[in-house]
Amino acid sequence: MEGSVAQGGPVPDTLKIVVAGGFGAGKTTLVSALSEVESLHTEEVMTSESVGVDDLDGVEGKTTTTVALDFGRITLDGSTVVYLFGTPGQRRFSFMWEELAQGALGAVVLADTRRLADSFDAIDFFESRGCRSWWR
Amino acid sequence: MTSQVVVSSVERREVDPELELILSLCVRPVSVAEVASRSGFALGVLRVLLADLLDQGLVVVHTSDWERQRPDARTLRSVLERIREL
Ligand SMILES: Nc1nc2c(ncn2[C@@H]2O[C@H](COP(=O)(O)OP(=O)(O)O)[C@@H](O)[C@H]2O)c(=O)[nH]1
Ligand SMILES: [Mg+2]
Repeated sequence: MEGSVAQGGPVPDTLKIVVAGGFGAGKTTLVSALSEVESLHTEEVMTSESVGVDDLDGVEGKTTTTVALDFGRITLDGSTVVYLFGTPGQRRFSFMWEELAQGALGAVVLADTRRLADSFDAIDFFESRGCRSWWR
Repeated sequence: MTSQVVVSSVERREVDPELELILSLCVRPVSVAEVASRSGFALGVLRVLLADLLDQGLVVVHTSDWERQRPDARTLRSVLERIREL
């Protein structure tokens, strides 16, 4: 909204880095360690195809689950802020990756070496978006 | 999610308590994700409430320039330097 008057001083530019990875890969730990604010957790409500097992009473098709997102902030200087978004790494969460990847500086995909395969969906996604990979 | 919202300085009026809570969290420019986690609303819910506030002119939304274009080399370098310092 160009031209509108905002209070609270100049609005800093924001950049973002996406942190993806399977369950237990260390996303929350990483985002908390880097964030200058007590790291924050938010949830997105999503509807997904139920995965078969919990079709107890023939209720069809969809279940609602919440997706935890980790959120952290690093202020570079008064005018530039980097946001960190930790997002689950399984393909069924890719609807969120689309939005998060938009305009992102880059992504860090965390992998637990005992469950490397958990990271493949996220790696495929970011590579298909033209990211170059560096392995560490 | 990375859009920043901030209370508009021109409009001020009585609103529902949940909207009041949101307004109190964006006195300074703050990202939508941050408002979500501080308010306890799921992002999808917060987006709807923010749209109401936006319609009423009570908040202003800013989208980062970098959502539309790649950051310049100087910005990238300063990000890299700061991250190395952490
Ligand atoms: N060995 C090791 N453990 C880690 C590391 N990072 C996190 N952890 C542990 O792994 C577990 C899961 O981490 P968490 O950040 O909750 O994973 P998330 O599910 O991806 O958010 C926790 O017990 C952490 O203490 C790491 O770099 N090395
Ligand atoms: Mg976690």
